[in-house]
Amino acid sequence: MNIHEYISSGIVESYVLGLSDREEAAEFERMCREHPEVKTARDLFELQLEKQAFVNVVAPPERVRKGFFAELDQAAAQDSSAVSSPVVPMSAPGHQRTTGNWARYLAAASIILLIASTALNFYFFQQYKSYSTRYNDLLAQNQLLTSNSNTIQTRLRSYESTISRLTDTNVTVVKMPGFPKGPSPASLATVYWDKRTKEVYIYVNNMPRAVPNKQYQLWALVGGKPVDAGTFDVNGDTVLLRMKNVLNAETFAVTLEKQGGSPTPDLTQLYVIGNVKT
Amino acid sequence: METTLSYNESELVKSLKERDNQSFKYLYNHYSNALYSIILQIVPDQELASDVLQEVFINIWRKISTYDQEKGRLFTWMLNIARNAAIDSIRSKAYQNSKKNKEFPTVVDVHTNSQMTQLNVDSIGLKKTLETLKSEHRVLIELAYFKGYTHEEIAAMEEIPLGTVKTRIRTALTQLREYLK
Repeated sequence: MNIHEYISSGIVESYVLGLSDREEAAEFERMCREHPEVKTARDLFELQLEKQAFVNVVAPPERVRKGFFAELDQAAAQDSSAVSSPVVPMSAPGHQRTTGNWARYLAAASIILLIASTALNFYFFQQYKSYSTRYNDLLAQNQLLTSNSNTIQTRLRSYESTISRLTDTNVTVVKMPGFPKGPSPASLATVYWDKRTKEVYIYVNNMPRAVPNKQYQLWALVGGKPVDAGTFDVNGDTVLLRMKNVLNAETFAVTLEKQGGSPTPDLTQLYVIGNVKT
Repeated sequence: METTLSYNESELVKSLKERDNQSFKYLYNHYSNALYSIILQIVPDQELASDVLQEVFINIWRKISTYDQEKGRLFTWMLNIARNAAIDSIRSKAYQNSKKNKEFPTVVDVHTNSQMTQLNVDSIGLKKTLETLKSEHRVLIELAYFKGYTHEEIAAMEEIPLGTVKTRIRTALTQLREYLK
């Protein structure tokens, strides 16, 4: 019989459960010493059995615990008196015994106190660490919320001012569609021109982003002569952009120019153009 | 403080062998449910099973110096003490009853006829896995493990050859093992 046949013969279970006879048990113990795989199989079955023994268990009545603990304490008391009696001097046995016990109780009490205080320290330190981590997390969260809130307020203010421009009756609205022969005929931008204050705002409805190192430049044309009205970028935030004040204009137009603008427009780069309705 | 202490098995065995009372209390708190449940499978009467349990723990306390870690886990050792004590108790009870009343000559009858408070322990541990066995196997495990009969006694009672008893018990045990996994 080889070792695997031996292991799977049922001897492991029979030995562990106490069902094998003396001879079989002795042989099994010898096999465990000589063959580690037999011992491994035994350990495994014992663990399975132990695990199973804790499933669906029933608690015994409390009196068993009290009874057993009482026996233990009684035995311990007998033990300690048996140990301490030889050192008791003949003159004052009772007195010595009490001091000895007192010292023992004090020592025991102080050790218990020490353990308890160590445990409490550890517990409070863990609590402290946990609260400190949570506090820092909350702080970071709070900062994030504040900065989000600031961003949102800024955007809200710019939307509010956009709406107030759009609804102001003194403002002239100039639609500038894409120039058909220009680089981007599908573009559209709108100029809001307050003729009383001369303030000019531009709203980019649809224009491509400027290539690097280039900027869009707004021109006001009076009698065919272009006047610079400032430069702007298209960055996806669709809000009103404040431009330079314009005194007079018949037409507004936007060209793509070098960064910072040019003195005169590059007409090959005319994106949008629109007339002021009178 | 005693309930917050915990031991690994080697530490526990070491403290037990030093006869440290705290470790025996830990042992009780940790293992009494499991051992009580095993005793109940053999001794269904809760009062009697409780007495057996207390006796088992006192025996563990007395015999701990004979426990050899090389031969198996602590729990296995305690399990066998519990099983033996439980079987002893039903046998002596059976003995007393049979002296009082000659009409109940067997162990099995004593249980089913006495007015005992019984729990349904069939859902616990090994007993539960018994249901998965063929009846010819289950009977043998019942007799050998839960009633404590020797293979020879079983062979005589069941009128089957001793070799067959041994083979069937071994087969049943390897099957039980599959269900324990």
